[in-house]
Amino acid sequence: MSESLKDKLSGLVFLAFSIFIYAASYSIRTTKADSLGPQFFPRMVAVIMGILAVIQVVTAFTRKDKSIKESESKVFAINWPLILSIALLIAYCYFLKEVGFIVLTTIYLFCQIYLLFPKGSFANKKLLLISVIASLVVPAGIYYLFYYGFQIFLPAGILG
Amino acid sequence: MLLLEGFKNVLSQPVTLLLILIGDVAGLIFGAIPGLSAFTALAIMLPLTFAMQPVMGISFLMSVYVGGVSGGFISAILLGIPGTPSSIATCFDGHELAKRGEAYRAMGVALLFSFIGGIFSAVIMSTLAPLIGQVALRFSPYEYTTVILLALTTVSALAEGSMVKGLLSCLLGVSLSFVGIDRLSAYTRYTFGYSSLRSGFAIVPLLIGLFAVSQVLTNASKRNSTTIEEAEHQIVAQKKMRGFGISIKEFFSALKTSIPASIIGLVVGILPGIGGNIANLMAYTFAKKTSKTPEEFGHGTIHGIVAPESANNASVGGALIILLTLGIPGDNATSMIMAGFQIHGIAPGPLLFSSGNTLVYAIFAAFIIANIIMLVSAYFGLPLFSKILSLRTEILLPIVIAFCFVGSFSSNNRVFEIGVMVAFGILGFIMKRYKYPLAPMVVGFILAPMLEENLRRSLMRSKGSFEPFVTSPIAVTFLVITVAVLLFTVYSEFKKKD
Repeated sequence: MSESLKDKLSGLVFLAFSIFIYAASYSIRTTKADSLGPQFFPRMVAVIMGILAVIQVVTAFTRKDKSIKESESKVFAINWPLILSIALLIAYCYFLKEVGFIVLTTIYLFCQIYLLFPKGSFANKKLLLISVIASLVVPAGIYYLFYYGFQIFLPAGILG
Repeated sequence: MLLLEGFKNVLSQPVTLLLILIGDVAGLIFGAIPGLSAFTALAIMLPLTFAMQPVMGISFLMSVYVGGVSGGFISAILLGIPGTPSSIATCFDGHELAKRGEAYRAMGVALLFSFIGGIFSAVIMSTLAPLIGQVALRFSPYEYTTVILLALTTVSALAEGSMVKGLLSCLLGVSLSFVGIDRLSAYTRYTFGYSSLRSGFAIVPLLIGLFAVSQVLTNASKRNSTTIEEAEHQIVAQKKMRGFGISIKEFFSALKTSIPASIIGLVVGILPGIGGNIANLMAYTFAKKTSKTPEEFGHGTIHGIVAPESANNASVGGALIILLTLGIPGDNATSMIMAGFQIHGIAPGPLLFSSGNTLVYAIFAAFIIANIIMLVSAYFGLPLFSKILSLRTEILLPIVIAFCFVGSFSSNNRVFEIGVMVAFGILGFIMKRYKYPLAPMVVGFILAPMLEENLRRSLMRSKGSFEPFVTSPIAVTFLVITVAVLLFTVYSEFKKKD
């Protein structure tokens, strides 16, 4: 995606968002005591945001892109490490209560470390070993540190 | 005298000193590792302070901040990669010296002048902040509204990228603050029927998500384009040093570079939104321009280290002045400090200077002590810190996230907050992709309730008229500066295009 297309697109998203805020302000209950009411400020912000979003889109249209052909071929390549990292994070929130902090964080750590290292890094046995040790030691360490040291009780899940 | 009280307050419990030492060392380590910063250190350490007493907790966070800002020079000098954005300029000459095998000398100088910059700003802070606090105490809603407006405008306009994007990001942050209960009327807004949203978004998961989680996603997205060789960096063998590596004569000549640099750092730090990142580059440029031997800059002169390192540490004091007196955080790290204050039941702002007087001076004292301990611990720890650089970010960053899970969870003791953190992490990643700066969003989110309250109070008082904003001399001054900042930014953006 070219820079100007990105700018146009994001401008439009902001415009839609500002309309959404304005529209949603109608469902706020109002009082008589406060003449301006709780809907005044959101509406004001929505209007300013809308104006800025229009400026953003218009300037993106008037500006000419210098590098049109740059990295065109990359557009449709799916970025797996990114998508898997996001999926990993969402799955983490979803299962935390059931599975518990220690087990789930161990899984998370190892997968995330794997997703960050350049492909083939784990051929280096030392690196693999450090990653495994870190994934095993850190979650349990954190759990007990907060449990005994700070009285913060993280979800125990299947180990609890 | 009140400052002495503050020292007594901090020193009365020796544990606090130990905490400051731990905080400094932790901060230095985080600052030294490229990709991690004072902010990441604060994000990890924040949940640790939940169980501490206010003075201890705040002193600890303060020392993490001081250490985090200072640590950047270690990797800047050894690797030529700034450990934090506030040590970019330190690379220019610092790494040149390291290539000659004089890394320890360079680090000694960087450390010494980080300390001097920090102490300078600490002294100015403890004298200036109470005065500004007194003035701010007399602010009516009109003045308060305009000063917040000014802060939001500067953060947005001076952030990286276009001004419109900065402002949009800021307004997005402002609108996120609508969710939850309206402070003035006690009605809920924008919760869409979800009871979990009734208390609004908590600041800690929002901050951690936007900055730490988005960092992991950014690094993951670059995985396919980096090779194993690129990911590994080399360290050159270095000469040992004695003392700080400079003679007394050199020290005094360096001091002449350090003083203007510290002033630049302090002033830039006071302005919200720019802080250490810009301060170190500005101070470097200034030192080069005013130097008698500008040709030495970039080829390994100690003055090229003295200027940026004095400036970035001095900017910390500047940022704290505004945070403490007006309750306005300038960047992500100070936002985190502010979150820490709130957790310990302290509301930064002018009232801090009238209500909790002893506490404010304890904060000043902690800041000064943190700087002193930083100097000592870093001096003895330098060889160790240099070793830490061989730790891999790929392993450390997920560990940071593991701590962030805890930080978010414990901010309200529910899993929902981790969801909030992840959601904002994804949002932050997308915004970075689309070149929207994140700092304005956070500052917008934090200041929005204050802005709304003051704006509505003002208009209630004036029965809907905007006139008092123009008739109050202080308010009108802030408005004029706000407009000037906007015009100046538009002008310089147009100039750049041509």
